Amino acid sequence: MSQESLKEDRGLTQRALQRLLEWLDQGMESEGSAYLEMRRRLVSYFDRHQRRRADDLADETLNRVARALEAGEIRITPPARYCYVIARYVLLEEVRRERLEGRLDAPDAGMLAPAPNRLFQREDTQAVREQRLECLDGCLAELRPDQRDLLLDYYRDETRDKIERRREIARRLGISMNALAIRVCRIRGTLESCVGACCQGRQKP
Amino acid sequence: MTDHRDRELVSYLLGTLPQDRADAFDELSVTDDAFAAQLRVAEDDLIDAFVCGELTGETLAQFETAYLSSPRRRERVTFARELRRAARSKRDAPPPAMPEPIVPPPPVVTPAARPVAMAMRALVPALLAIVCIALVVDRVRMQGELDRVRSEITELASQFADLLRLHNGMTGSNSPAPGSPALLALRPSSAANLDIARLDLDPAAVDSAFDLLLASNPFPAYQAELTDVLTSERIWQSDWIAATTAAPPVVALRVPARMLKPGFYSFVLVGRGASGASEPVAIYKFVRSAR
Repeated sequence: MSQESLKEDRGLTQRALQRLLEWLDQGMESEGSAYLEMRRRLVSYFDRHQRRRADDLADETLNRVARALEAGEIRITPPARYCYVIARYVLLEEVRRERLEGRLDAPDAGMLAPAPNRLFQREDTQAVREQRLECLDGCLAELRPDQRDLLLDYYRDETRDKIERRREIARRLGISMNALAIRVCRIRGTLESCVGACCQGRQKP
Repeated sequence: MTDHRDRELVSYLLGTLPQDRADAFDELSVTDDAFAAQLRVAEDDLIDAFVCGELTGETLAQFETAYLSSPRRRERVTFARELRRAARSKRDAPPPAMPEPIVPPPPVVTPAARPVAMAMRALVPALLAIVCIALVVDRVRMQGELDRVRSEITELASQFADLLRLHNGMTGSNSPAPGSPALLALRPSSAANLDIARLDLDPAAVDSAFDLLLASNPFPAYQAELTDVLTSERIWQSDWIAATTAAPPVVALRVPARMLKPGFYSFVLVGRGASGASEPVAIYKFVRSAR
C-alpha cells in the first residue's frame, strides 16, 4: 500500500478491518490495494452524485460493510456488488439527512454548487503552486524509472503528434492502444494519489 | 472501446446521460473492474482535452458547469495541468551532449513580396472553410458505406471461417452432437493468427463451451468479456477463474447459448495479478453461423 493509508473508524476494530481487507481480496493477497481501489471507486461515486463529504461517505460505506461482515450478515456476492448496495443506502440516507436538517430551502447546501469555468481560476498562492510542483517532482522520482518514462512520454506531445507517439509506444510494448491507455491511467492514478497525500501532509500544521 | 461507448462515458461524467442508463453506469463503476478502468481512462482523457483547450460547444459548457462543480474534480484538472507541464518540460529539455542545432536565418520579406504574402493570408480562412466542408461531406458518405459494410461482415466472416476450415481439412470438427454443448477452442487473435473460428451451435444446446488458449499463465485469475463485434455491445462476462495447469494453459468458459445469436463475437480476456490489478491479456474472435 503506497501513499493512501487505510482509515480506521473509531468503531471499527483492527480485526474487523483485517477481515474486510481479506474479504475484498477474494483469496488474493493484494496488500490492501483491493481496499484502496474500492474506496477510490466509492469516493468517485459519491462525488459524481455531488456530495461534498464524498470521502467520509466512502469510509462510512466500508465501515458498514465491515460490521456486516463481522455479524455474518452478508449474502450478496461478489464483494463489490455488496459495497455498491450499501453505498446506495448511504447516499439515500445522506440526502434524507440533509433534508431533515432543514436544508430544503437551500438545496445546494450539502451538494456541490455549479462552478462556471470563469470562476475556476485557481487562486493558489505562489507558495502553494511551488509546493504542488515539489510534490509532483518528488512523487515522479518515487515511480519506477520505466513507469516514469512511460508516463512522461505518453503526455509529452499534443494534437497529432500525440496519437503517433502513443501508437509507437504501444507498438514498442507489444500491447494495444487501449491496454496502453489503461496502463498509463494506473500509473497516473498512483502519481495523483501520491501528490494529493504529499500536499495534504504539507498543509497540516 | 467504441466511439459510441466513449460518448456515453463522457455523457455520464458530465451528468447528461439518461437516468436509467446513468443508474446502470453507477453500478458498473463500482462493481465491474473493466468498466471502472474504462471510466477512469475516459475521465483522464476528458480532463486532458479540457486542459489542452480541445473541448468545444455543449461539451465545454457542461464540463465547466457540471464537472468543475466539485473541488475534488478541480484538483484533478490542476494535477493534469501540472503533469502536462512536467511532460512538456521533458520534451523541451535539450538532449544531453548534443551539438547546438543550426538555426537558419528567418526569410526576408522584400517589399515586392509583401502584397503576395497579404493575399495568401486572406486566402487561408477560405481554404480552411472549403477543406472543412469537404471533410463533413466525406464523413456523411462514409457513414452510409459503413452501415452497408457492417451488414455484410457477419456473412463474410462466416464464409471465411468455412473456407479456412476447408483449407485446413478440419471440416466438421466443431459440429456438436445434437443437444450437446458445443466446444470451441480459440487461439488469441494476432497478426500471426487471423483465423476466425466458427461456432456451429445446436439449436437445442443450453450452453456453449469455449477453451481460450493461453501462451503463458502469468495470472492467478482471469475474466472474459464477450462482445458483439458489430454493435460493440458487451453481452456476457465470466466470473474470475483460474486457468488450467495443463499445457497449453486454458481458460475454460461456458456461455449460455441464448446469448449467442448468429453474428461476430470477441472475447476480451483480462488477467488479475496478486496485487489486485488487472490487465488485458488477449482477444479471441469467432463467428456464430446462421446455419
